[in-house]
Amino acid sequence: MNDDMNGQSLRLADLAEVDSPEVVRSAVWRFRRRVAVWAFWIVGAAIVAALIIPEIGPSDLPFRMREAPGEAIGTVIHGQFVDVTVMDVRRIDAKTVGVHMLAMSRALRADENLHVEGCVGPSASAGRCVEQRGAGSILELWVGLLPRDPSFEMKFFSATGDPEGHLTRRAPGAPAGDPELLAKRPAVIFETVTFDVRKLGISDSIWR
Amino acid sequence: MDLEGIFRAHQREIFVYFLRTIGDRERAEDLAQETFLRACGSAVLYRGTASVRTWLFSIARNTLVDSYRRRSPELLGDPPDQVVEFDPVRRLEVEEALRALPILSREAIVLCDVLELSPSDAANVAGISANAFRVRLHRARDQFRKVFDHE
Repeated sequence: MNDDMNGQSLRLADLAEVDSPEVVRSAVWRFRRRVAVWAFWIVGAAIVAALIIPEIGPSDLPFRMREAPGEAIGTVIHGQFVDVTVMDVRRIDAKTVGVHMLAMSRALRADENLHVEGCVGPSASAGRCVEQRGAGSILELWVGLLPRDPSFEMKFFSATGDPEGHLTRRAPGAPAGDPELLAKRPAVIFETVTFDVRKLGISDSIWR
Repeated sequence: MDLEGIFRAHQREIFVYFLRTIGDRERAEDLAQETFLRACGSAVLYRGTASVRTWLFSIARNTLVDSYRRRSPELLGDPPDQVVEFDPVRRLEVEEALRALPILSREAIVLCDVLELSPSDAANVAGISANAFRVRLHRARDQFRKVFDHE
């Protein structure tokens, strides 16, 4: 506003003629420090979350199978020493089909437990990994398989002691099942059961 | 020109905006720094629809409004700033007359007459229509004349 007041020229723009302190450098420095602090906390939180979240919920194969779509099967495969009932099959994700089975053997001694080869633990996701729970002659199995495999096999074996800490009431060394079968079976790995997927009656929508 | 260089080109007028609106050099420096800090954070959101100058003044005004919300009485009661470069008596009279105005009138004069923004740019900064801002500016100039003549 250029104006004439009290007989003198007045130019308000002159009020802008001041020395400015250096504020940009300190503002930029504060901003960079703030970003660094945020980044530190975000990365820290991400690391903590990555460590904690897998521990929050169960991620083992039985749990994942309970949440997945699938169908009941009920097919029984009879082996020489082991009978296996395929109870249900579920599509866990694009790369994994879960098969829930119950295996039973009548060829075990009282101090022996039925086991199957495979990776035991929460890492089962794809391929042929097995979760197994049971004691004595009955074994509940959850197997993660790659889809479209035409067949798979499982090797059953016996082991003394109880990997899950269950107590057995039977006397050590006494036959728990059929003494004739027990006499025939090999010492450790005593049966390989082959599963032909086409004969199990699994629908294509799950297996493909 | 990098971001820091762009900011530095507008550093003085942002400081003057605060200095002439609130009249406290120390607070003006703090608010100017806060303005550029906020500008760093929102630079990625700048779309170029307004000039950098108008954008920075908009951030400055928001910073000022937030500051007033936090500590309005202190700002209004601050003593006159002693910036004297030439014709000291007359300059002090002008500064005192400006300081006697209501804050919105003072801001309108600072934006248009001290910092020489166009009324439409100043309206963008103030967040009102250009016509409404022209009315505000006209009244502010009338108020200023009355105060200045009285003094």
